[in-house]
Amino acid sequence: MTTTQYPDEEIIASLRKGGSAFEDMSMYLFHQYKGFIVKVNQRVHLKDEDIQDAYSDSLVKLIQKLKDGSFKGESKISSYFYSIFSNAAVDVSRKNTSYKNMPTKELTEFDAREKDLMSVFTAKDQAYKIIGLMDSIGAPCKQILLDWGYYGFSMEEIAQRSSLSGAESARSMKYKCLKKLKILIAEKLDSHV
Amino acid sequence: MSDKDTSYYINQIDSYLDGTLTKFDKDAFSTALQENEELKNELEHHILARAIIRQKGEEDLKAKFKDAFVLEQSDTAQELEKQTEIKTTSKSWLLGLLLLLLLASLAYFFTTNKSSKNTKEDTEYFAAIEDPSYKLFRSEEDMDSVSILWNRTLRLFNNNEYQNTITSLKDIDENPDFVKENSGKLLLMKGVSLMHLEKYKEAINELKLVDEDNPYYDQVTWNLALAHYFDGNKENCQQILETIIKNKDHYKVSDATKLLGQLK
Repeated sequence: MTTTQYPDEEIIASLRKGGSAFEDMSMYLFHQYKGFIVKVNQRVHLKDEDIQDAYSDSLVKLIQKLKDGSFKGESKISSYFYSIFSNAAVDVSRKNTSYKNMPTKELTEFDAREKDLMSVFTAKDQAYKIIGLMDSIGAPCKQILLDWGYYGFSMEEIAQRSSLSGAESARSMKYKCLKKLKILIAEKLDSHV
Repeated sequence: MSDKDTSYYINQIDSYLDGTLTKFDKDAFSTALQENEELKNELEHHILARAIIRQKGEEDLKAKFKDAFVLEQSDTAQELEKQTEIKTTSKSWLLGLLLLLLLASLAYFFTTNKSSKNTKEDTEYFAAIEDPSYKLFRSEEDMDSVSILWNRTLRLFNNNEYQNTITSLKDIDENPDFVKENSGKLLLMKGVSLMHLEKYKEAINELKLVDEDNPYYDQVTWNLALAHYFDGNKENCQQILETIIKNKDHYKVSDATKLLGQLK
């Protein structure tokens, strides 16, 4: 993967395709832009783990922006990533001087629809408790929902990855797991109303 | 709206959110949404569930990147070890060559002066050539066949062919003397190969078999910590890292401190 150079269009197409193409392209990007770590760190002088953390965060952000169309193609993906990473590193450097690095995903980064719902919770820690509900549905369910909802694997692939009998079984499991998660969400919301 | 209708629309939520419904179905869904409170709640919970899945997915991907960094550090360390091993091997070859040259010179000396030597000297010369340790050193019998196997295994390991490495190690297992003398090295290679094959529990079982007084034990402890880390057993990983850090002579004190910091 690291020796091949992919054009920007192919990178975006693979990420949007999901499944193995998404996973492979994510790791390709991880290796492809590693050269930026030294370059950026010459300015901010972060510890290894901090700069690696900022790099991983920035890659996750980049991938989301490429997937959801926030990246408009006005620059090359590499330049776009460099600016995200550079800002993130400066941000970590600044935060290090006052308080510990906050988790990557700020609630403000959710899209408008999600943000409306998130505003139900006045305090951020309540929102984090909601996000933590995924850990309450059990590892197999969590894996199936991640494979479906984030990585974009097909039902056939999910069946293979989770050792299920077939696509139909995977679909049924996904349905049950999603229902389980929604029940937990409903209970959590009710307890805050 | 009947329960059946509500269920029909609930099944359409993903298509509605992804914008893949036809205009007719989309309008019908929007109307149903206005009329049915249950469907409206269901949609809200569904959107939130998808947001949570996305959030967790991003955390999962970030963890994969972090693991890739850790694995890279481990590979770099192994590469350095291999380079050291190559240097040591080169030194051994050089010494061997010098020894052979010395023996050849001795042989030449004795041969050219044979006529002037007495019988006692002849006996001593032949005794030297017939020295069993010398024969063993140059023999192409059992020792060499294991060496060939070992070199093949080393080559497979260096080429990152970990499944083939495991198979080759099984062939070496048929030479109990070699296995006994090189247990640490063999178990370490097997453990690291299994780790690369993501068989972390098996890797842990193999690495645990290495004795504390084995010269490879330091490498074993570091890889054992990594195996526990990748296996998701942060507690065991943490314990081993703490042991490494306490041992100031351990070659991974700095990396162990970093990893422990990340875990905490």
